[in-house]
This record gives sequence, C-alpha cells and structure tokens, in this order.
Amino acid sequence: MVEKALRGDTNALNAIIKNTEGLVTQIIFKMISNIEDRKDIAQDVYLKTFQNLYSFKFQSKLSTWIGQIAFNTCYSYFEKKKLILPGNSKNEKETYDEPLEIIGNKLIDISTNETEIQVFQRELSDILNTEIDKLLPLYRTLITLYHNEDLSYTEIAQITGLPDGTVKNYLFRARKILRDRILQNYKNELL
Amino acid sequence: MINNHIDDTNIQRYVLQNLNCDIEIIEHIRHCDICKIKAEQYKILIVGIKHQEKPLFDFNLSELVLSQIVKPKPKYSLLMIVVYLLVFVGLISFGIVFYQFRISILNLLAGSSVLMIIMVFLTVLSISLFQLIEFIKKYQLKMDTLNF
Repeated sequence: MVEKALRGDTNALNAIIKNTEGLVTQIIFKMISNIEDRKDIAQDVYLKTFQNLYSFKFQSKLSTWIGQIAFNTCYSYFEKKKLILPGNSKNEKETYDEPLEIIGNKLIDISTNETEIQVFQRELSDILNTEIDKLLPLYRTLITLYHNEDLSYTEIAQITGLPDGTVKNYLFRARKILRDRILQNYKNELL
Repeated sequence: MINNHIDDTNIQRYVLQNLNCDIEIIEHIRHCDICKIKAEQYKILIVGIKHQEKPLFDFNLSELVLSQIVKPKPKYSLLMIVVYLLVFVGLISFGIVFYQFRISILNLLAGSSVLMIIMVFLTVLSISLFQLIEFIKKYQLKMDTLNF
C-alpha cells in the first residue's frame, strides 16, 4: 500500500486515510479545542504524511507513524500559538457544569433495573465527557489512546515520544485526577 | 497480607491486570471494604471511558486531503539509473565473454566430473533458496507491520 501511495495511487492514499482517520481524529480532538483549527491540522497531518511517506521505514505500524505525525503537528500548534494548555487553569470551578451536579444527585439509588442502568451509563458518559475535557490535553490524549484506541504503552510511547514508564505514570495520574474530580464534583454519588 | 490501604497506582494496576497483580494486594482488596470500593470506582471509570463515543469530523477528510495532493510522478533517482546501467553492462560483458570463450568453457565442463557439476549446482540452488526464504520472511514482516 505504501509503495502504491508513493507512486501516487489515489486508492492507496484514500485507504491510508480511511484506515488511520479514527486515530488521527482522536488525537486532534483531544489535543485541540478550536474546531476550525482542528480541520486545518487534520489536513496538515495527511499532507505531511504523504510528503514524508518515502521516509517510512516499516519499523512501526503505519498507523502509529501517522499518529506520531498527528501528535507532533498538534504539539507544534501549541508552540506556534503559545497557548496555555487548557485543563490547567485556575478557573476550572467556574467552568463547572451545574446541570451535571443535578444528574449526579439523581444517581443515589441505582437499582439493577436495565433501564436505570442504561440511564446511568448515559449520564456517566456525559459526566466523563465533561471531566475528560477538563484534563490536560496530554492526559486526555493518553487516556483516549489507551482505553478507546486500545493501543499498547509502547505504541503510545512511539506516538508521543515519551518513555514507556512516563506514559504509564501519566496514565495512572490521569485516572486518579479523573476519579478524584468526579468524586469531588458529584459528591460521591456517581462512582 | 498488607495491613495499610493500597495506593491508587496499585489499585489501578489491580483493576487493569487483575490476577497478574501481586497476591498480597489481591488479598488485601478482597478483605478491605475501602480499597474494594475504590477498585470498583476505578472499574466503573475505565468502563465508562471505554464506552465514550468516538469523535468524527463533519467533513470528508479523505476528499479534502486528496483534492490538495498533486499526484507525484514516479521519480527515478540517478543512483537507480547508474545501478541499472551497471547491471546491463555487466550482463552484456558476461554474454560477450561467454560467446568468445564458449568452446573453452564447454571443454572445461566436459573435463570436470559429474560430481563436481552437481556440487556447484547444489550450492547455487541452496544459496538461492536461502535468499528466497529471507525475502519471503521480510515481505511477511512488512505485511504484518502494515496490518492496521
């Protein structure tokens, strides 16, 4: 496929995008908050990929290599814009979503009823969405790559350029922060 | 059994690896309600994260990217041209030499024993086979790597 893509075969280029789009989208969505910038970055990732495809040495999966380009492109975006990484701001309490507290209060008595479990899962999903978004972009990305994309520590390390041990530690830390914040914000009722 | 409560890192490790965890940690969590609740909380959290909806772009990324790519024409590097030229010159030279000395070569082959010819043939065949196996192995490795 890579060789075909290098020859400019549109089907091969299309297949590469389709096969890796999920991973790239996850990385961009978790790293970048601005919707317009996400579009530009996504294009940029694949243009860089195809420009540098000749340098792909088959030492990792192609998807991991493209993931690495996506991560580095997002990182360059932060450097270029000199952005303060969201999720680390002091005004997190102010951005706290009030209606979600009400959702948390409703979950005191969760029975084994199927419908109630489904409702619980939906509400938990909303709360998790909100709380994951409040994490540092790096933590958000690591959590997503490990739990949603089912990547190994080594693959995540290749994508982010961090050592395996650091990836593990950051993941432990991110999950702890997530649990502590949910317990703090939803008054021990959800978990 | 460990008497102190298990820290968050080890509780997470217990939730993620379960039975691969240290037996003392497993025993403690089994008997300690506080750590058991914490482990359950992490389980719910991890399951919740796993069930998060995957984000999607509201545009066709593939179309957008492909519209901006100019099809690269296949490029032949100077090195490749030199290599092909050398191979071609080599083959021609070999052909000329063989043609010029064909009688001598045939006499030489006729003079040597059948056993000698078989040995040379088997050696060439073995080397070719090893190279073919290596080539197939490398190809399979590449295919496995590209298996998204």
